Amino acid sequence: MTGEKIQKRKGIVHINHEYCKRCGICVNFCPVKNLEIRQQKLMELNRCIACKMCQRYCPDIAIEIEEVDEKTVGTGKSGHRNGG
Amino acid sequence: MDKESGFKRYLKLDLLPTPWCPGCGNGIVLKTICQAFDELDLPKDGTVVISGIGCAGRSAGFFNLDSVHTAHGRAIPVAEGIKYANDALHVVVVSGDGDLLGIGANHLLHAIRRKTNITVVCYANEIYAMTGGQASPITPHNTKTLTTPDGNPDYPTDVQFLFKHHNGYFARTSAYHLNHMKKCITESLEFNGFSFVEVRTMCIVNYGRRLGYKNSNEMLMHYKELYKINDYAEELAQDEIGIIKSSS
Repeated sequence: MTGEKIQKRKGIVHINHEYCKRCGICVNFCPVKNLEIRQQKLMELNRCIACKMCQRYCPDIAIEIEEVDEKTVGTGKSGHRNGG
Repeated sequence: MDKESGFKRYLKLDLLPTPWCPGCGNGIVLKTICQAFDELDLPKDGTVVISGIGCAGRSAGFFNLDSVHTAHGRAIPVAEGIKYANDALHVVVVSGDGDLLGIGANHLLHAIRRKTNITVVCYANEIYAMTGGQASPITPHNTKTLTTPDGNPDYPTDVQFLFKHHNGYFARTSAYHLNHMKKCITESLEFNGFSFVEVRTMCIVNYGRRLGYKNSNEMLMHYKELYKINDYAEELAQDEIGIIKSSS
């Protein structure tokens, strides 16, 4: 992530880790490479543009996107969020 | 619930995760069927889902509706019986290609002939996936599977030709083309007569792996490259997806 241009964040990815099977379809569909599988766990990298491609193609209904306003969330918040 | 998650009311969310392998396309089809139900706002007490045996047959249990998990290949006769007993119900059959076109092909033939007003959604993964990857009736020619290690010597069944002389609704779609799939399923639910939707889905563990695909995403991208949409045509080529709707 270092050295890359910080994009405006427009969504929060809620990942249900109980449903997720880490197939990686969402990782490949994400146009801004916001999702990543690290240590057998799907992680979000805080640059979601709320295109909802991952939500649409997730076969396990494990992803839900919450559309947010940039001002209310801010940038650079660390860590992913659990949800679902 | 908002527009995008409204389909969840048709699912038993407490039974998830689904039993399918990571990367299986069945979940995408299950979700799209529920989205089509949601778009038409089908009543929960007026819709019945029937499934046969196989990977796809497991999906009936996940619908938050009345559902029947029938014997192998016998999903269509049960569905027809339910429809004849109570005509007001929306009857949907969800099953795989091995179940519908292999073991239950005879029932499919006669359901088309009788023009029973039911909808069949076929999860066509081109393989008998649950038993380990044997060649199914729609496995393409020269494809390597567990039972055909030197390539499939037979040619696949093309269901569209069964509809040629019996008015019905046939659609072929793929797991990549979500909007097209939803349109096909929605139209087939609205169609007055026998309707069949063949959804090409990916099976990575027992099929794609032997063909050299690294992951299920590669198979999805293969569908994107292979299939061209050709709606309301007279006949679909092998590399086309689309809808064949009889005029009357």
